[in-house]
Amino acid sequence: MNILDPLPDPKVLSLLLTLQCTAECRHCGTMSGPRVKGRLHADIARRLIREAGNLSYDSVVFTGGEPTLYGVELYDLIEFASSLSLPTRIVTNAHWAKNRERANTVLQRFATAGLREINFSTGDEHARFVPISNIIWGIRAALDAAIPAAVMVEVVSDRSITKKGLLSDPTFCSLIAPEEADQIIFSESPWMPLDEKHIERYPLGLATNAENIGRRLGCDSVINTTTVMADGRVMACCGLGTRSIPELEIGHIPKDSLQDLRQRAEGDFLKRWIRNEGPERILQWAAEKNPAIEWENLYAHRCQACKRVYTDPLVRAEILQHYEEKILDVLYSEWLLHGYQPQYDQHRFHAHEQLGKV
Amino acid sequence: MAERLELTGPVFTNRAVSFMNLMRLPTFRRDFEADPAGVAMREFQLKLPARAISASNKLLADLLQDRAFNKWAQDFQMEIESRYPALTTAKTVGELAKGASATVNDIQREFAKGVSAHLPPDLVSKLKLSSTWKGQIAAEDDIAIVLLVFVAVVVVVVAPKTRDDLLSRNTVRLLVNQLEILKSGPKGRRE
Repeated sequence: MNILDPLPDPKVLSLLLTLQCTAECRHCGTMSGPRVKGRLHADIARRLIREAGNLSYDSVVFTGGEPTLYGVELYDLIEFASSLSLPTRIVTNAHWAKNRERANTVLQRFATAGLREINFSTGDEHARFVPISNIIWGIRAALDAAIPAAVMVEVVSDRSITKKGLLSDPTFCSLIAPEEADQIIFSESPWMPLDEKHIERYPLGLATNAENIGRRLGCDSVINTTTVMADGRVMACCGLGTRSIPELEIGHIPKDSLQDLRQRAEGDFLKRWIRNEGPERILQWAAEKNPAIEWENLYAHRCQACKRVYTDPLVRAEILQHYEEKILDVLYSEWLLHGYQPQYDQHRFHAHEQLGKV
Repeated sequence: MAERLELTGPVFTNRAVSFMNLMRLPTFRRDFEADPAGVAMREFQLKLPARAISASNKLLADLLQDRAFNKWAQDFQMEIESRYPALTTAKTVGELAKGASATVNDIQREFAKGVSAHLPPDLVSKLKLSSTWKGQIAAEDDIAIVLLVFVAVVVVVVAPKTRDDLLSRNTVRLLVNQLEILKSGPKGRRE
């Protein structure tokens, strides 16, 4: 792909195989926990993966809850997706990586099944239930199994677990060489209260305001990620906060097909607006219409800003009254990013240059 | 309990499909870009304000349609691929992360310089006159310096996960968004 080529429309199938989890984090985006029951039937998961393959989805993500609690069928599903040439990713808290031997056993099984990426979730909340040493053993085992690994670290204002701290942890340094650490993708992401009225404290400059909003692009999850919950409900984004935003629930498995669900999500202008500009810009736009709407320095996690878009009566009123004026701007932006094809290419440049026509 | 906030229906779907099809026609595209509010009323029965298309979209369109910028981007891509072969030969996310971690800052800085060198002259004039930057921006190089400060921040926030994340139309859009704030000042800040 060239730098200025049209951007592809990503399609991701995310399966929340179970909402059961070994951890019980405050503000868990999926409201998972040890006492939450229910699991997605493996036959249904298999049918969805097959459909994703037929529709040329880009990847399948296994998450939850803690997906490893799903049992041996998790490996079967990864293997099945791999057999359809669908890259797979798992999101886990590494509760199973209690020592090197156990971590290696699990990662080798993942590698044999064809897993393409493993994401570890950690931070002050997760670490109340899963020691940081598990994350380190998990990373070590992923390196040994040649499975690319990423680590997501929660960010709040006062925290003890950081990327920097993890990289300088004596156990980490003794097990993972600096050149190996370079291969791990670390992502420090704001920890989000589900309640849009609960304002978390973040490091300075992390919450969105009029000065830093230029760094916010559209939401790459809404519409592009189809999330199937353990109880069969289907969400139009990656799952964080969707359980508290009814509008993001777009259907139910097994009644609806993936294709129908995607079309249903694409048919909602608000979701396309969020995908194109992000919820923070919609709040900014609504605040220009109604100065009583405050939005600056409140939200670092965009899912919380999204919940505000859907739940604040003032914001909803401005959207309903004025959204039509945004329709062509958003469609034009979609076209510029994904549709516009320049009418010339490299060969033409050189040909025209030789003819002196550029 | 509030009603579901969904902006759906066949009218929107038809408009969206029709717009994307019409944009393939050069004459429609030119008409729309010249008079978006007029075209919106004629073709889609939408009453739009005079500034129907955001300044960011207009600038993004100008850059993507600029032959010189496209040629520069293609040459730049070839240059970084030869200068940093690890980026193009990486077979896994891990290899890419390793290759990119050492180079991403330099590459995105150079890209920001390239964008600022291809900005429309009227935007450069407006930036020089903007209340935010009056007296501080005298030339295109100064814009690049301002953007570099921004890019340095972006690199920290947006670590590339695939090669296409490193530089793409989205990178141009990020820079365009920032330029809009530089030009007009932050929207929404209360005194």
